[in-house]
Amino acid sequence: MARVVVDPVTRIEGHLRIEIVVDEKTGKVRDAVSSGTMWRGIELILRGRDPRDAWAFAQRICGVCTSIHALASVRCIEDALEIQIPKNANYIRNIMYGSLQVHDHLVHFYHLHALDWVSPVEALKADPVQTAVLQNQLLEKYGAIAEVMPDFLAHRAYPKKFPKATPGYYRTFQEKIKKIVESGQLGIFAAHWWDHPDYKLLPPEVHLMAVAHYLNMLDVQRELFIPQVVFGGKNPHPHYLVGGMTCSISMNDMNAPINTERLAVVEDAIYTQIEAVNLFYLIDLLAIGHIYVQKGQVYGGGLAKKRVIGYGEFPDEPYKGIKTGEYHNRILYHCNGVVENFAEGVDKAKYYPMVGKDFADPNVIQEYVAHSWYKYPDETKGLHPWDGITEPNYTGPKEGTKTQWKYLNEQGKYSWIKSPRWRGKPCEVGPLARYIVVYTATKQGHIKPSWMDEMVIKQIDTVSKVLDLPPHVWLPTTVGRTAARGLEAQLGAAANLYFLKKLYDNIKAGDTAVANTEKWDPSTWPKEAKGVGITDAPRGALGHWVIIKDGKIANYQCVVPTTWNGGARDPMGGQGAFEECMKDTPVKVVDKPLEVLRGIHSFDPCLACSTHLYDTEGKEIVSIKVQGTNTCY
Amino acid sequence: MIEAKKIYIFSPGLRVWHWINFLTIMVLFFTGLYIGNPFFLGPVGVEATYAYREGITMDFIRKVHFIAGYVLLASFLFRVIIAVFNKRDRLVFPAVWRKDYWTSLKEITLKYTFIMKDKEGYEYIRNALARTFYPLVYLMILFMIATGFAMYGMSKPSSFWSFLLGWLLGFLGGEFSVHAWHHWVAWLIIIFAVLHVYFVIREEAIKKNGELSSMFSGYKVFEKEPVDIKDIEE
Amino acid sequence: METFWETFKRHGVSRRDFLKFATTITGMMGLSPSMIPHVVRALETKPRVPVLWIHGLECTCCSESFIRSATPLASDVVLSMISLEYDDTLSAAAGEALEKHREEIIKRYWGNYILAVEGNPPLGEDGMYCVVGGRAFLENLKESAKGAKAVIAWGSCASWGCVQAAKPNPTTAVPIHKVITDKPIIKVPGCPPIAEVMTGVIMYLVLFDAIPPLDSQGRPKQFYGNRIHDTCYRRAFFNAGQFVERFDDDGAKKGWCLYKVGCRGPTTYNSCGNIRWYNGLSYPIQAGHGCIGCAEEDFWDKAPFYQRLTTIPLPNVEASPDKVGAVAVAAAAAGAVAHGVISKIRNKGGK
Repeated sequence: MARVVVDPVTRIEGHLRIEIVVDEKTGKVRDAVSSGTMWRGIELILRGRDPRDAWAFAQRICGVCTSIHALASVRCIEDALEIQIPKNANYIRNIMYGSLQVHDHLVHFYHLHALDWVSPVEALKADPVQTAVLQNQLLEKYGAIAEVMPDFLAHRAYPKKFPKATPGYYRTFQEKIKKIVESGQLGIFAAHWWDHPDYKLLPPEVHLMAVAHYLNMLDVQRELFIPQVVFGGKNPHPHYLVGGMTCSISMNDMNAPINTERLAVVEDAIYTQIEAVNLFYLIDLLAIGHIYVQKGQVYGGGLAKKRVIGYGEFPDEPYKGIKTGEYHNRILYHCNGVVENFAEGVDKAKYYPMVGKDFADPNVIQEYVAHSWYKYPDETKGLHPWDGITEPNYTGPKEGTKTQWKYLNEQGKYSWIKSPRWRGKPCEVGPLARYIVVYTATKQGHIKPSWMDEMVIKQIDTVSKVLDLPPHVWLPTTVGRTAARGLEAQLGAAANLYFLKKLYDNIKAGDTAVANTEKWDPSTWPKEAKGVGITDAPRGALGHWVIIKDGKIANYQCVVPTTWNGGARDPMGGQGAFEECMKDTPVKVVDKPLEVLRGIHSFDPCLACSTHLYDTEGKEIVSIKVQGTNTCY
Repeated sequence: MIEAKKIYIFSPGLRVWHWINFLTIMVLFFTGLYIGNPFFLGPVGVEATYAYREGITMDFIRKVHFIAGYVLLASFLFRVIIAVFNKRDRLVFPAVWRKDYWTSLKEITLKYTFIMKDKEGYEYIRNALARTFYPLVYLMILFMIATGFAMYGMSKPSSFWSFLLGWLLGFLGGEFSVHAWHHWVAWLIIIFAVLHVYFVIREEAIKKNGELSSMFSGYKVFEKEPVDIKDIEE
Repeated sequence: METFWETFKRHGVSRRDFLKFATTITGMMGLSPSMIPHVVRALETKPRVPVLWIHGLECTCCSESFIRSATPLASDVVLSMISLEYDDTLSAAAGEALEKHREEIIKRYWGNYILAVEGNPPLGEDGMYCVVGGRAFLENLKESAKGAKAVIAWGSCASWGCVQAAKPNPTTAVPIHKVITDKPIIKVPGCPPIAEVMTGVIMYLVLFDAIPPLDSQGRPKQFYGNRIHDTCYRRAFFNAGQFVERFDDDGAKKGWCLYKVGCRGPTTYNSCGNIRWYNGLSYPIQAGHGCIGCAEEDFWDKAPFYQRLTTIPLPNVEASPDKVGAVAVAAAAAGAVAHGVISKIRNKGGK
């Protein structure tokens, strides 16, 4: 048995360490440890502040999935203060959210994940002429994936971003890489395990194509976020507002934040998103994924096979509250639920809906700290975010010193990430989780599918046909997790067009309001209020919980995606998705565990998110009774 | 009982300075209040660039504030210069090393807490409480000048003022905090002014000693020889 | 290490186009035409600078902003201007292999590499609130700084402390200049800094092999010289006294000044007003939200963001200077009247 440490894990957000125990003979991972190695305490910093400012603080939890914590935060405060935002603000927020999905997923695939699948060293062996031929073939072979996507506006005459299938194009990229390698200054490509056998799985031409697109998309990705810059003023970290948005719309005033020209800028950016996803991202994804699956790489599912959770997104229209259940009455993306045992087949999987009341129920979502560097009076029990108690309790490693680790102590405490659980059980979150929930809920007939749900089904069926495998086989795998992310980027781009059209129609109908300021003044607030704000972040289900007292934040709690996925074990022995995925992944070269790294990267880990947690003694035990309506039938 | 005696206290320069100082501080205070919180809007329905023709704008009020700021600075420098040339005008610092300062401090405290009657005890050209507070007021004015010109100067980062005072902004915790400081100290000066006016009227009402008119005439009437008379006589 | 000119030649760029590029760059950097020969010489002779980009307590918004740069494009910076040898976000390698590579770069380019720091070190719990490679980031930072030619403090985290250092600063996070005291530090504050400001700073370092001119706070003058307020396109409305009173009101639709809803533009030094975000596309004020002052020291503790002057923490009271001042003056006046009446009574009667 060998114990292998990878620290730091790069091409992620924040600081992560993994340790695996590998059987050298079989390459089987017997045990795996995932540890978040940073902690900032933003929730403690939020205490005593003005609730209207909370979005800005919460947004700084993460700059990669920027804007998502701001969205969860304004939703949370609006839920507490019972503010309903105007229609335009809802559409605008959805476009900003959809743009995040597209950008985050695409940058993850090319710039954080691609180098686990392809290698610039292999790309040097490719023939540029053959690569150009291959590009043409792939566009023909997988191009049909673009057809599952509806175009609500049909304003684009023809695609402006299109993959170049000329030998000269690929030769230029190949020469650039060659010169970098020859100069001896490898820069970002330095010191990686390029000699790993997995890099031989693909033909060199696929490597060259993907590496060229890695660089090409590095230049294009900035444009995908333009809607956030127009509506929120900047990116990363655009500006939100409790009660709506600040970007007032007027067609009568020259200096209005939003006029026809600004809308055109947004529209153009959304079409760029669509082209980048349909013509680059999905084609490359299917080309690489198809070969890996053909070579037998259908592992790495881990927890996704057993249990996944999602919260639901894209409210079609404004709603009155989240804990009231109204939010879930309005959403179009019905990934709000828990699905167990999907790997046994969609018919055998078990589906449980997640609606408003579940987020206020102290027994549904709880966090444990038995194996995290925090203290509870009784660490065998979990606590609902509204009742959380935590004090940091750093204990050091199993081997090594307090400030110089060798191996972490998985029997004791070993991470700055807590362990959130659904009814005491670990769940995987993320695009894969959401796709499993929507697919199961639709196929089993629990929901009346919206156009988005139907698009998800079409996407999954199209890919199943390409791979010639049923969804329950290919979806819960490392390849499936990466594929679901790409498909969701397409869904996000389609949603952006849909909501842009709704925004146009609403302005045409004479409604230009973007903010509801009726409850702007703290004197209009109740003495005490509690709220929950949920969203489905690029990396998975995200919830913020707040208690407001006398106009100030008394308690603020976040349970975030990478906490679900990367969290430590619970006292019942349940392991999070990272650890389960690693255990489900065989390793070919023990001291170069590329497969494990690829599996971890397929989650797109975000450590600043997961380890921002710090909640001091939440003295009041809050129990809220809310009326929930279950629309998922 | 000795004869009541008229003593020449305030030089003409000082009197002129006092009233200019009073006027500029009033202008600065009220324009400053508006700048901090523009409670009425400027001309509406006018193209912003041409609004200056149409009545009172923020721009105009700020201009008044800045001009008054320069006047305050000039009068402050003038105050320093006359102190250099005229002993009478150097009566600024509390003479804490002298016994009569402490006697005066005790007496004035007792008088203001109604234990002693005002006409009892010694007489002073300037009582210890006044001697303690006036230098603080000078310091506050200096602070307002320094912070004011630091903020003013930074609109042109290569200007004389930003070179001279720019460092102050970082030193006081950033420009945003300096704005707040500028407001706090402005209010302290106004509180001083209110109390100052009150104590002058009170002195006049009780002693009928010409306190109120002294800042015009320069003279004040004393019933006894003031203990600290040496501080103003050559 | 090869020069820019060599790099360009390799790409088949003609001498003529190379000189054109040099002229454009000179203009972009705000330099006079007389500097063109210097720029040309710089591009011909300076080698690609190795850069180590390390991450402490942060949210990676600086890296994200960096890759949004359009002029120069981030890919040109990373692949042709500098040699980014270590970066948690972009490096292909991971774990021990990467840590070894970092040590090797430090040794090989001792005194010649640039250290870029995103985020900051926590001092609490011996620095173990942020661990890299099994050790405190604090140690990593000190070690990496020793042989650096210069240090770039990316963003408000490295420059000022930012959100994790906001009260009560649970991890005792400190800006990097508290730890690195013997190296020139270029502060590039902002949460995050504007993309083109970040690449602009790197470009200056590469082109002129010198630290850009800094202000008294250590920020490059060419990007942090002016207030946003003094470069804002809504300044005319401020001067005219035309203000937004409430979000989405008539003034907001007209694009009036956001001063009264808490804009920090008058006290924030950054290029949002002139360079703007996304190559001039927009900035927060243009989208109708006041500036929150994210490039300024301790801006988090100067909240609430929707008020002009900060309050003092009195229980259940919004205590701004003007409110407290008005109450205090009224109290002083009332006190004076009461005192006067008593004084008059007390001093009545014979001499």
